[in-house]
Amino acid sequence: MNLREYIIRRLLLAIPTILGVTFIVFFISHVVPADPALVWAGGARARPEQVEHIRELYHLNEPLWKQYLIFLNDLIHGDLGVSPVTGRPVITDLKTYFPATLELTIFAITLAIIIGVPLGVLSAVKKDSAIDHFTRIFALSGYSIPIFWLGLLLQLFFYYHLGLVPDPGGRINTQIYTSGEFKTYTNMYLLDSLIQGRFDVFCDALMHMILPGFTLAYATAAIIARMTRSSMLEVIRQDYIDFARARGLPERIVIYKHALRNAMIPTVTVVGLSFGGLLAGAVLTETVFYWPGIGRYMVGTINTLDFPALMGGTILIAVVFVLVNLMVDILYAIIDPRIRYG
Amino acid sequence: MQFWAKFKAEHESKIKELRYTLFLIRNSPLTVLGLMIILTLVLVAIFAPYIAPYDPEKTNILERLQPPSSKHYFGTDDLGRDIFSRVVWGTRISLEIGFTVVLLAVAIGSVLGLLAGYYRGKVDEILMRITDMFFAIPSLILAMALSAALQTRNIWTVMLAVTFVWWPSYVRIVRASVLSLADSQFVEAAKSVGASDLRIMFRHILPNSLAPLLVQMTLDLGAVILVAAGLSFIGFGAGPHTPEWGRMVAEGRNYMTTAWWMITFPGLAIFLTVLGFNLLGDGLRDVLDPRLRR
Repeated sequence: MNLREYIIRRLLLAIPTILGVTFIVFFISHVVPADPALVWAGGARARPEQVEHIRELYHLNEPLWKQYLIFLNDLIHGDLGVSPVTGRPVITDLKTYFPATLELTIFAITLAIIIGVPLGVLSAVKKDSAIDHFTRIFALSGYSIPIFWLGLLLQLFFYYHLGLVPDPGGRINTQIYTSGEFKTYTNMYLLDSLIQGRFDVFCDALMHMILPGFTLAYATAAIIARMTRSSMLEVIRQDYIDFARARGLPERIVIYKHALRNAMIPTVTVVGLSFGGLLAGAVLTETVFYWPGIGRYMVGTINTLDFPALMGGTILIAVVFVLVNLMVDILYAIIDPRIRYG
Repeated sequence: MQFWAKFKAEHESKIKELRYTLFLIRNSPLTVLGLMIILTLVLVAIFAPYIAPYDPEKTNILERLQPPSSKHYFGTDDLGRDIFSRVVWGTRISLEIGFTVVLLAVAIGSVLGLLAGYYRGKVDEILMRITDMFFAIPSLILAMALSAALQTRNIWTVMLAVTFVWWPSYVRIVRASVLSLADSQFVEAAKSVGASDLRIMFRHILPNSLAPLLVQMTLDLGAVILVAAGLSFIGFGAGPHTPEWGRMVAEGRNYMTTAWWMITFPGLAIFLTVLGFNLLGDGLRDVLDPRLRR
């Protein structure tokens, strides 16, 4: 089987999983004891005919299974519906908020790799040294610290006490945003600023992202460091490493070219698997830093029983998650020629 | 005395194994540290009414936002409630949530995992596809949706919501160990003497998959407490006045520049608790891993 067939097969297999996700979320969110039509119409003061109108509009009078089929039918036609709370099509909202989360998540995962992999390698190569102990403490703290608390402590220290970073509550300086000179194409400001060659905007966006990015990255960096360490320890015991040394190759090349490449396979898995954790972490990070992303958006949708928006957000996250897992599997094949997709 | 001698003779190998396990645990300082943290927390949770100097829910506007002092060890919050007492009572809530969720998730996951691994075929296929779906949604988001659907905000909804998203991981663990054990000789032997499927599953296979399960449960106790605190932090958890740590951090957020103690101590409590379970779980993994054991 070649790579293209493999990818197509995996994508087809993902469809039932995503359908299942819509099923679970649909039924959970629709068995609410409260009357969503009443909430959407404005609560207890809403006029009865208004409530009835909303009920008709969103098919809330139909039996649950029929509502689900209507939802699926719309979904197949690419229609995620209109949010009864914001009055905007859900797809528009997702387009606005998702890039902010995607940018933050990619930044965090990059940061986690930059921190985690070298720490893991160093602590394996210098086992039981000070750096190994430091990595252990770093990793254990990363697993254990509540992400929202870490975010608040970082804010307290770096913003309120030291004033080193801009105030939490946005992705970019508002002056840049309102001046109208800076255009957004992808809604990912780091990328947009690079496209336009605006390094001032790039630096500003980066400064806004550094604390939320680190907050989100820490737990993943910890997992990557531990994983890299243990797989490096495994690999450097192998014969081909001794052989590489015996050939007189410099230690740096032995470690970073021969050992690390082989040790990366479990690390790649971990990076892929932690993506789901990052998306969940993004909910908390975005809440702490008032980051206008999909996580905060979804907290809002749940509070207002905004079903169309909740369903849209969940489907988007599930699709991203499934795609990331697919990418991880393809990466395997690239890193390790022994693994043939199949 | 005679009974003890007989018991000893019958279970000699098991006793030896247990003593060796305890020896390994004693020789790992971090595991001992984890165990000590957990034991302390369990004691604090049990004796909370005797340790806490004040009623955790009693407000006292006259004493609001007091810094830590000998009167209020961890200071007071914006409603004048004693933070030390709230943190002490919060231990009980967090441990309750952790143990309830993990035990329920293990119970559900073990049964389904045994069924999937033992009967394979269609049962396995269906159960595994269902668990796949759960893995495609971040657990916090699903738990949020469920707790919103339940419409009430208390620690029971937190437990229910987190259990709902947690069981699938145990299905996978138990299924994997069933698959590796199903063809082993002791299962063959049990089958040949006519043991029922139920007996084989629960008496022979399950006890032999306990080691990986135990490690995962210990680590998950920490993870569940983190998720539950996160749910409460964003407002989907415990109700007002409940001394739940995540909620306390959320309440302290607006005062963090003037009253740092409001977020610091509850957050530290979550951190230490989760750290304790992680240290213990990590240590148990090394101790129970047969490859590292000898």
